Amino acid sequence: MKNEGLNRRQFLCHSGKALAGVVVASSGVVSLVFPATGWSAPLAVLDEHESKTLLHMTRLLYPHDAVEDKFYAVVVKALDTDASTAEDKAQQLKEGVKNLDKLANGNWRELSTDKRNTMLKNIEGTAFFEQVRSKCITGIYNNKELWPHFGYEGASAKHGGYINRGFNDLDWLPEPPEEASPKAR
Amino acid sequence: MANIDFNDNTAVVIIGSGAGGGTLANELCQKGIKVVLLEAGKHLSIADFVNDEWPSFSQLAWLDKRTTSGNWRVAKDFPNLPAWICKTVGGTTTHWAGASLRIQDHEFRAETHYGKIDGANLIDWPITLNDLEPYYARAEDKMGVTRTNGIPGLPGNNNFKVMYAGAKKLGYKEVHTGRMAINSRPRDGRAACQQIGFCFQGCKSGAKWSTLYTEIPAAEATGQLDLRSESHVLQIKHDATGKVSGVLYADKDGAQHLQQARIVCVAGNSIESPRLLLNSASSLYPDGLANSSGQVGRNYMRHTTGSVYATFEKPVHMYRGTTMAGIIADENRHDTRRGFAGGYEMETLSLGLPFMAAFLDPGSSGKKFSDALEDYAHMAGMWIVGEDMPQENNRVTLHATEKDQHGQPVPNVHFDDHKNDIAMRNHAYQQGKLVYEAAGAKTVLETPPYPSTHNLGTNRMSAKAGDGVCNGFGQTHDIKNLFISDGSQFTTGAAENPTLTIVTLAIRQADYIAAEMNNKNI
Repeated sequence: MKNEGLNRRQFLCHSGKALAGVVVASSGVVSLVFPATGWSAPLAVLDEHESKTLLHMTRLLYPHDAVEDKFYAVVVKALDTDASTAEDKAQQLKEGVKNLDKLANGNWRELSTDKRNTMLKNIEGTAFFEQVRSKCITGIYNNKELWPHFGYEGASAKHGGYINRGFNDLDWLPEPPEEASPKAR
Repeated sequence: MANIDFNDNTAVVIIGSGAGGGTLANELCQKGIKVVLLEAGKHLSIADFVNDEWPSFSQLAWLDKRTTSGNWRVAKDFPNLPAWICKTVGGTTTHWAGASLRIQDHEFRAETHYGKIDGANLIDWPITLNDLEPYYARAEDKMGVTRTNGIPGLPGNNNFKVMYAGAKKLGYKEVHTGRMAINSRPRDGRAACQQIGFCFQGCKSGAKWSTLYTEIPAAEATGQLDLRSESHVLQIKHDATGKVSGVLYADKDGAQHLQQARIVCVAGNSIESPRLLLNSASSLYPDGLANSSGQVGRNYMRHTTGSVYATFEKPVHMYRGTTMAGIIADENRHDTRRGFAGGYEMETLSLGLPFMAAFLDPGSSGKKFSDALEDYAHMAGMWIVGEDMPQENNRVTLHATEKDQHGQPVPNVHFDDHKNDIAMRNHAYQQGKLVYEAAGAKTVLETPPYPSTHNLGTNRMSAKAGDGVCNGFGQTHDIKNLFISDGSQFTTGAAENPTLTIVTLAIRQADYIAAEMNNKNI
């Protein structure tokens, strides 16, 4: 594997600043680079065009405007890592990107958002689409660094649960009567 | 703990340590009966549980290969995960939510009350609520069910507050924090609920009843129990007279052992239990054990389920606190004016963000989906659990070619929704939507059924031997020293979460087995 350069925690810890993710190629190595953080993730399998296309695709599949590109780049990196040990997965990604460009009669990324979404809809259910989509589900929503964005607090037992931390703090509806909802003991 | 010799043919061998097997083991041990308890999964402790959905799933879930077929959506979205049940000491009582409801009188007599329904293989249970009432009382006391035995209800969490407000506006009457086998105050050496919120991932406070830290240690304390974890049963063996004589199992290293037995009780949940009977076919029993009726593996039920999630202007934080401590029980009646037979419960439910993404609308993507998750902290949720129809062709069979790690055919789970199931689900979706709209919902989302947690019916009880696999005590019609001790003995599904009834039947079965052993009948 050629991706030892990835340090995911380091990559994610700079989540405070708004940064544009970029893909650069240098001396034949393609990397996901976020210059302000000094961080880059070399890719093993995907070339510059493929990784840029997949970055656009992941954001279109699960759009969260306030979530920075680099979190979507984590998904691309994960796809690349999987592909680095499975030739069929690598081929599927490469063919999938080619197919999008073919549908676009050029560079798919340069189409309008509406047109790109329509084309994604057209390939929904294909193995390529599922490969990227399912990786987004874990890559985005199981990324602990992103949980605060969604208001999910994660593990609670180590904090004593929510018994004293707001399990019943909702105050915009009437309180249920005690026979329906006894007081905590 | 006892150390029972492989050649000792005087013990009761129980396969599976969950609600049925774990309870039965303890009840028998308390009577001085020797038990070998075989569990395919590892022996974990509360300290091992993790408040993290995917790692916990890898830790607890039964992930051996299974296949699916039929028109249920699970077969499309999760083709190798028909069920979300557990492979660990304590079985699915590590994962269950704790809802503990008695099956209603009319539900035990489904055929009588519902009449003939096309495509449904309905019969009445060979037992009635009246038969079970004293055992339900013992189960509720054992498990510490709230709102029984003077035990207060749990305090409602934010998710319950939303359900309550909407339900009351809609005119529902029976709405409360449920009958839950989760301590609302310390009881039976276990702590009170800390409102942790990861009920499905193994209760870190031990407030939720699980055989892992109640029945099994109690059984061990008698000196009668020989618990063997990571012991995966491959076949049940019988003697020349046709009585079962022992079980063949693989230990954690794959080494196979033959444990002799006086009695064998199968409690591997409704997929593994029929699979084991089918995999035990012999020249005497070519169709599998206890299968002269051809009903082993058939009538697979999984409850008519679905979820309704809604988003609100203001925060809810539904994931905080006890996952399922909230119920609307008004729809659990049999009232065909609604367009279907049987009834359903609505119960609070939440998933953490990782599982919400995986289960909200499997396979979906795009702005609508993302917007819903963007509102995760403002979301409330409920689960629908209703009676589904037993159908002969909804069944567990052995796969023709696929084998598991021990070389045994894997189970295929086939399920087609019955039109009664669909009508009920649609009604429940609509009522759930009305509940949340009454509470001020912005958007309401219908979530399809998850992989099944309530797997039932595949070795069902019947009065007539030709209609099912076992009698009202779970004793198989064909082989008198072979028992079914899990939810697979359910004749029909009823609307209620099944664990309380599984425990109740195990207590009753233990009394029966002890009496029959005393009388030298088995």
